[in-house]
Amino acid sequence: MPDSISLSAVAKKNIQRNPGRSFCLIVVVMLLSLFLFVGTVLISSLSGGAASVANRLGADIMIVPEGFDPHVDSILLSGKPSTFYLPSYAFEELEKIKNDVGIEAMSAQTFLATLNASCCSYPVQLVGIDFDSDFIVKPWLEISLGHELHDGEIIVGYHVAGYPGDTLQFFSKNLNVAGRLEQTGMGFDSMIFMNRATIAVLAKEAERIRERPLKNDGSLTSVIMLKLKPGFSSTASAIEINRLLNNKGIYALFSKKFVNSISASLITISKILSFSLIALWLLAIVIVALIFSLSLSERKKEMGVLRALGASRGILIKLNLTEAFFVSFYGAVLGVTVGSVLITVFSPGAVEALNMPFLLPSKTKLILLAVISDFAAVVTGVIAALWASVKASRVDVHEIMR
Amino acid sequence: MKLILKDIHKEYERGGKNFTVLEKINLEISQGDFINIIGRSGSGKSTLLNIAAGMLRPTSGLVELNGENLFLKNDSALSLIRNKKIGFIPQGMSALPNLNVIENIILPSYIYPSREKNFAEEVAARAKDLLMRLKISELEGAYPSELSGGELRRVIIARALINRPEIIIADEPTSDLDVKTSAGIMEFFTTLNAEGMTILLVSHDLDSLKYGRRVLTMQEGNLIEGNKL
Repeated sequence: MPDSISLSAVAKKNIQRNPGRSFCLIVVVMLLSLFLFVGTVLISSLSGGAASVANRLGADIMIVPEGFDPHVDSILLSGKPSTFYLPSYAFEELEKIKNDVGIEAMSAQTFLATLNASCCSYPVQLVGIDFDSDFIVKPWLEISLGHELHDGEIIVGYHVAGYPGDTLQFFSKNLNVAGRLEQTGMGFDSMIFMNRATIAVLAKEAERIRERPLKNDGSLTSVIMLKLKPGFSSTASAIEINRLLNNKGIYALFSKKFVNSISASLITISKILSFSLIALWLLAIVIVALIFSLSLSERKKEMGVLRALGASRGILIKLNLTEAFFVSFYGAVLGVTVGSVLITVFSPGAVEALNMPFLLPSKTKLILLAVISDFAAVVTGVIAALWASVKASRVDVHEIMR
Repeated sequence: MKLILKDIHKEYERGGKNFTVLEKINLEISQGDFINIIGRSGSGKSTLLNIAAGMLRPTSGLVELNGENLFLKNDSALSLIRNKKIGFIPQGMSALPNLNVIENIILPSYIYPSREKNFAEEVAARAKDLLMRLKISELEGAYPSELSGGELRRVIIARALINRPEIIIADEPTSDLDVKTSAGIMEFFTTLNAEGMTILLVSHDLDSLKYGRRVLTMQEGNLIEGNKL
């Protein structure tokens, strides 16, 4: 192989033989690409989570025991297990006012938290669904399962350990895993679904194991999902239900308000992230431009020599931008790599810390975001070096070479 | 090869005042010439050389290389001429610090690389030959910071010759070197000239006067025939 030296090889050697300067530049671009990637993934995950909540919460209003609405938030958002029951007369009371508030359909669900004890495989939220009246989860379950859930059968959320054919034990009862759900980014991922007959058996056993009754009637209803007739406002109906059923231990939770509060938080987080990213981007441009400018000022004689050897101004600019490209490329790839590791390691913690629905984008979208972050970081590095490169190309050879 | 400097006048502005460095220089350099311009420091020798090499625009006058007015060309065309036809040896130690000896020498060929099939092999062979002729073959992998002044100057001379230029223009090629090393370098120029290479160099070293076919003295912005120092 004969000796040869292309301009890009000259650029690479300049990077290799100036490790301190190259390290500083790579770190700056790495931080930019890291924050771009992690920031966009975070925004995308939160948007995906919010969209998932909006899609899954098909009910207009949720009826929950008075004072338990924060529990419902926790269950739906992060799957934090909780057990609570509505008064047994809740259904009857709603029946009485259903025409006044525009209720079209009602469906009961039972929430039962398992225990971190020998009776249960692990602590998790069990949800019993009334398949006769359900209009929310049933279609979604049927798509993934293909049939209704039989007694003793369960469907597990994305984060629950268990695969079709496995047997899990809760409150000393063996349950067969019939299917698994796709990731939703919300509490559903940590839930186990079954029919209400199955959950009733488990609830009885739970009372026996806990040696204290959690309910004093046989209704076993935790929440009632309401669907309103067309033309009725969920806000107005929820307010009316709360007025009519005041002091009855029942609270009407306006589902959209729940989604809206997530959206409001999401907008705030997105604004903060976007502002930080713009600030970081401007800072990166200034830092890279300064480092390049200082470096090229120190290397004026090199520029003069290259001009004397016949390099045109265009070639000098190309050489310096090639150097900026390589440095930015190394930094950008490093940033996305570190970002990927951080997302993998810390995203479960972030879900808990944010207490918001969090749905990581698909692999394809993640790769796309990585490529966009890399591209943006490289372009930023090259643009930042442009001014210094143009300035360096205008070196007065005669003056420099004296 | 014919390099003509006609009515070259150069002024600089310093502290708001104009200083004339070159009054009205006329010089014609033909194929095979070996011109040695001597003069005191600050007499304008380097300015004249930079104008002759197309690196500094004169205030007035013209520079023609083979009938082409250099300063009517755009930067790209002028740079290409500098690269292909002029082997310039700047003052001082002008090797690129991040490239080793062989890379420094072949660099001018790769500024405008040829697409010819055996280009890399030919350039490498020329570089090896120059290393051998300049007696620095063993240094090809060394970096400039590892070389002595004399070795470095030989590297720069080899670099100026790699593209087989029509003329070598050297600015103080023996400055800061000991007598023996200076003599070796000047003898190498003499050999090159004997082989047909045109050489224009400037020096303030009177020892260099015994080399070259023609000696000119730069005095108060004018070129005078012979040694007038």
